[in-house]
Amino acid sequence: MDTALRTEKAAASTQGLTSLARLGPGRQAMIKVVGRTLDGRADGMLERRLLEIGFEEGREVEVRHVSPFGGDPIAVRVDRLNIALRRGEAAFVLVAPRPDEPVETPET
Amino acid sequence: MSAATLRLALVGVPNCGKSALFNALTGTRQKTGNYPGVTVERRWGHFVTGDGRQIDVVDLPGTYSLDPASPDQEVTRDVLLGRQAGESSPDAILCVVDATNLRVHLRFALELKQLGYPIIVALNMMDLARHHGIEIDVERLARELGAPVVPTVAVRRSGLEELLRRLPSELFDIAVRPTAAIDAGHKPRSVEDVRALQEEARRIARAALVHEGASFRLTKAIDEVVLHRVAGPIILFGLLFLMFQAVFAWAEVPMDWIDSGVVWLQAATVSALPEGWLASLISDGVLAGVGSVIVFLPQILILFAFVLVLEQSGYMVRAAFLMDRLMAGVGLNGRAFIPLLSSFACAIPGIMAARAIDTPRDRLTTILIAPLMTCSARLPVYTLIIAAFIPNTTVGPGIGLQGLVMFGLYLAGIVSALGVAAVLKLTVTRGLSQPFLMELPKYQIPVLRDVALGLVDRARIFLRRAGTIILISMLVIWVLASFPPPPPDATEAAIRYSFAGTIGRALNVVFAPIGFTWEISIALIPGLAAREVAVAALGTVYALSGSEDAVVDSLVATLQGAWSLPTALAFLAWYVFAPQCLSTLAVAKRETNSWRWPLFMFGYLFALAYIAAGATYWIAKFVT
Repeated sequence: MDTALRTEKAAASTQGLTSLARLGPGRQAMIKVVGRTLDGRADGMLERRLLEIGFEEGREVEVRHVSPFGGDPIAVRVDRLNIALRRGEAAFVLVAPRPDEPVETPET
Repeated sequence: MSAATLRLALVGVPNCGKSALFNALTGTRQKTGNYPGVTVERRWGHFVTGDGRQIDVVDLPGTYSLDPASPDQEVTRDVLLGRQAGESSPDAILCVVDATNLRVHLRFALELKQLGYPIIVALNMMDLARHHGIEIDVERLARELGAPVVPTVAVRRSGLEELLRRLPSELFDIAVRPTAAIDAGHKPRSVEDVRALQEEARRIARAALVHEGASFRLTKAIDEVVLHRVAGPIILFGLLFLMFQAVFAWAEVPMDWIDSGVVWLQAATVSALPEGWLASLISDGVLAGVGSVIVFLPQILILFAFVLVLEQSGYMVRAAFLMDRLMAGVGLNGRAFIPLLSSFACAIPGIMAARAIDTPRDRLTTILIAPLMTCSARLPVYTLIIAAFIPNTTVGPGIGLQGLVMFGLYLAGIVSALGVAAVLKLTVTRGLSQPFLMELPKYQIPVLRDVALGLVDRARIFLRRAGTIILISMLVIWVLASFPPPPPDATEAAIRYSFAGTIGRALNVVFAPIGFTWEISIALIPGLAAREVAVAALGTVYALSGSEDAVVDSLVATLQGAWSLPTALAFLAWYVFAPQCLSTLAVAKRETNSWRWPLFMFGYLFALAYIAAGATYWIAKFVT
């Protein structure tokens, strides 16, 4: 896979974005990039599966629940859909938090 | 018109209500089995429509796309592409679409449509959609999709007539039936293809949706509670506790009935037949053996009733979500939780339930550790030994020592299962960890018919197994234990002179170092068929050992006299791991499609059982 090209593409557009894995509980955001991490890693297979289950650029997303044991996995809402995923996968969804919603909760 | 049976494939995204629709169409005429060569369950059924048209319907595993993420989903792709061995490709597709989630489901419908089959769309869960203010222009949707669309509510069987009526009639006429131009050269879709389809799905959804509707308030409210950081785990463990109570307490009465039924049949056989090998074969071999397994049917049905209700309501996925982190600690997936839970009743349904795990490696690990969960067949053995050797005293307010030992045995099974999983993950089933990604579906009230159909199916599978493999192994063991007959001047138990006795004494070379007597070694052989048979076998060995008061009823007293405490504890430790259950090995063979894994399973369980029993024996001997 042309990782170099993807990384290049990534570098251009992550300004102001955070990953779904870092979004705190109850926070709302807009999905901006599916299939790429903040540091530019890409995973085609995962990207496809994220798209297929309902993650899509331009959709509203909200972190609804976090696991009682160590905060991983998380459950998020996209439209009316509730989707459970581990933070490892959530890192591949880049989001723009709502302006009034501060970004918090580091990844680990 | 030359009428032909229409082969209809039911396809859809997970949680679209496809199985409910399949149940509504076929009812009790449905059948389940396996696809040849793979371990994926095949559900199919035949029915005749109101106007006499014949339809064969096959329910394909739910999938998000034709690029599979699990063995189940591979089958869906392969059947649709005509690549599945022993399965002809369908004549038409019935695509089930969740009306409350058009965007995601339409993308898959579009992907299916590209295959070239005649396609009809069931717009399912229309009641839920209406209830939440979602309004869909069905005509418009059909026009945009280029396929007939019929609103349905599968759980209430609404819309089915219309659905069948709309199947194009030329499909039933072999003379003019169009041959589906299926895209045999199907290649995995690129991410760009997926995005293009998604774009189109979104456009259609936007065009067809008159009203977007509100969010699912009830689901949201329930999730607030059951996924709560504190309340969530408490509710989960409460449910598990209730389930175990039910499995053990509610099943007692029907189990007694089955037991007395078997005893009655045995008595009837013995009195009806002349004394001799035939009466012994039927009474001691067939009835005792098969009866000792069928007696677990009530427990299995109760367990599965819980599992099916929790699954259909949508809670099971939440349980997997809650448990995922704990399972991930040993490299497993949250979904492994359900199969492992089922294994407390019996490893067979547990191993079968592992099919729901997407990733082959995780599935294999789950299958391999399932026998470590203390199945109900071990209970009679534990109960006997604990009653005989553990004093009935209390170690604290309301805590009996006997109960504590029982709990410890269960715990030992769980802890070692997690340990073995961790070791397997680092060695045998090593690989990249797989994504954990699943939809938490809307909560729904389970439909009695669907639960009942599921239970009938489980019962059928279980009884078929009891009637075949267990029957055959019981016959073999009966022969081993009955021949050759003892010499006329025999002074010891008849079983001692039989093949089983010879084998048992030979085995004792292996088992003596871990404190087992030759009687135990003999009992381990019948215990191969089913663990609990070992209790009956011990009864046989001691009852026939010449000591007059050693009837089965007083086995407790007999064992107290015959075994030392270290031996008894070693026997308990052995049974935590005991590899001896032919049915488990057989189902593992079927599910992994080779003898390699069941043999591996047998080997590692044997090694663990041996080491644990030996360590227990020597430590106990040293301490006492």
